[in-house]
Amino acid sequence: MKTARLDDHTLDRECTVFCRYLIGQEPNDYVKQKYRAAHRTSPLGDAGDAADAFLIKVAGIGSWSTKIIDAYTRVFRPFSILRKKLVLLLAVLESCAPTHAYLDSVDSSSIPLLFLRLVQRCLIFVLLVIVGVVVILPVELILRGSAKCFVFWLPRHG
Amino acid sequence: MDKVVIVGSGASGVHFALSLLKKGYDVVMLDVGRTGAKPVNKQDRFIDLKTSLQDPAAYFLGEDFSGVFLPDFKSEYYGVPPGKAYVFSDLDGFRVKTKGFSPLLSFAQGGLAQAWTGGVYPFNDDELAHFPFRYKDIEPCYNEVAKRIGITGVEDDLTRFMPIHENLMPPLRLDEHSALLLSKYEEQKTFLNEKLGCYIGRSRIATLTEDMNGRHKCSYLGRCLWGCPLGAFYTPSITLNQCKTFSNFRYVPYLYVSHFKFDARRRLTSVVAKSLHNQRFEEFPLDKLALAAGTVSTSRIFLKSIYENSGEIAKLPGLTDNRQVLIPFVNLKMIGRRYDPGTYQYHQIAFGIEGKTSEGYLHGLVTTLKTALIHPIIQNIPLDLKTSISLFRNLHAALGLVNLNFHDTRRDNNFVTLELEDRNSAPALCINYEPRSDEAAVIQKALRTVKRVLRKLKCIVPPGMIHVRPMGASVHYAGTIPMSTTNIAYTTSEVCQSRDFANLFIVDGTTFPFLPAKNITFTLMANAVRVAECAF
Repeated sequence: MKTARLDDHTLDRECTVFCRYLIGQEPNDYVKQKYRAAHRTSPLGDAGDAADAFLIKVAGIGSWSTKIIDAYTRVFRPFSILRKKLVLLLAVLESCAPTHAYLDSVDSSSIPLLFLRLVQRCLIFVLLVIVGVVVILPVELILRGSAKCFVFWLPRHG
Repeated sequence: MDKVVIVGSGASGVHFALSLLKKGYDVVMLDVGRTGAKPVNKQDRFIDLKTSLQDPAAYFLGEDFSGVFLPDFKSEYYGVPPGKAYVFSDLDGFRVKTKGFSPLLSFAQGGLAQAWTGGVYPFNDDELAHFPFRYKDIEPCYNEVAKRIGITGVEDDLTRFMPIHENLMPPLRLDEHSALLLSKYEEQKTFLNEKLGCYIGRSRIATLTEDMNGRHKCSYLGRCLWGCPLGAFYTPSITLNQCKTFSNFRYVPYLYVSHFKFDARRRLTSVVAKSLHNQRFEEFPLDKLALAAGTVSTSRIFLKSIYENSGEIAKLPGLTDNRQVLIPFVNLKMIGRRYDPGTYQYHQIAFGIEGKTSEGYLHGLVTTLKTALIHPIIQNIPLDLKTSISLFRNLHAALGLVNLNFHDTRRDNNFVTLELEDRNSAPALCINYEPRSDEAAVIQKALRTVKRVLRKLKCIVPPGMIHVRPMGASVHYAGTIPMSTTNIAYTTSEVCQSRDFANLFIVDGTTFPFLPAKNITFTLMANAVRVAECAF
């Protein structure tokens, strides 16, 4: 099942939420424009199947929901449209000012502190994957199931 | 003077042409000759381009975002920036069927070396053991090529593997990470030399540290990967432009050479090429022909010519290529430091690991990560993207990559031939490659040694990240019509004159009877000069 191509307003909103999530900054007009353009020239223009659409919709609510869905898709749906959108946005952010500066910078902490912070973030990642399994996986399975039913139903009624 | 037609404008072709032009020959060069865009904002540093360009994402990622590496990307990742995509772009109608081999072909002006990484390593006598000449015979040609292109390098521990020749410029300024690795090597030298047979030193690089022939010395803009805007980094198109200043040179682009014609005495009379403007075939008369289209394309032209003349489908055995293994590493001492984009971007240090025989030698190029795109790396970290970004920012300066090269020998089951699909269409080129049966064991043994070397340098190899590249990825193809002292079909003399056609010369890697574990390009150029000097 394919959904309609996304309109500019929806893409701008997505871009803003995902940008806040990735680097903690608001995207400027240039980043939004490139994000929209990429959706017009690549397979990202389609929202994918119903499960993809669901993941993108939930991820688009806010930074925390993006983080949960990102952690979940990293493990269970690494090639999902959401991951592609996030990677695409990351590519745009690293290519232009002022956002590249964040990606090129380092945390001014000592090595032990960096290590502790990394351990903390890894633990959060594991926790979020578990949350994803409990909350997201059942919904995704239902949607995938219904999509199959829909495809089965199409030839007879379409 | 004879009229010499040269096919191809790559590293071999342009140096062969330049030598002939200096001798007064009339030279016609036929080439597909694709070109890329001119460099933008020539004085800007890599980092400045992100601010100064009106559309920086189009420059770094391509107008069509083809430079974005999405998670489901299946092919081998070469990291070729959009500005150099023309070097590898396909040609309509060029069909190749492969088994066990993934060739990269170029139809660009300057050939594959328009996108090379500049490593120039002369072969030593051990590596030339299969060749019908010795190092002293080709040394003057290495000297000449070094004078033409500009090479930086010093005498150091690597000299035992790669002889010192004339015309070396002082080395480039080292980046912080490479300098740290070298200083660590000095501390651990005794162990590394004696126990592991590992020697580390400065890479020999085709980049200027002094102004030369209108080219500016490297000013550390950090744009090597993206296309050096100052001409400090050598590419064959620089020599092609030099050839174009000669009145006895004619460069004919937009031509795809199909085959050559020959008479009953097997003397070549003309070469047939298809115009890419109007798709018509044109014929170019010649006195002598030099094939320099690169091993795969040269083999195709040779095979097609025999097929067009007699209907025979010949087979050229002995295709060789360097197996390459990529070994990423993290230098623990560099964690948390800021990377410096204002440095030379490709490998600045290299290592050699001795084998029991010359064929067991391993050659490694050590590249420290600087201004390559980072999203292809970040997405492969097994964490969510935000955490991956945070981790990567603090690791960026500490990341590096060893590109480990293995030698290859000519074997009968690795060949190039043609295949007829039906009577009406032209035959397709077929390439078959099978690695040696003991290759996996050889690679595993080498990896154990390299990991020990890296550990001694205080670097760790992240688990699961080592990548064995497919055959064909190194782009060091050679060996299908080798130089030989024995007069047999499908070989050449020691001056690369065909044994099958008297006025045909093959001046690219096609004639190399052995492929050492080293970058081949410098020897391609030097050998082309040697042929021009010895046979013309």
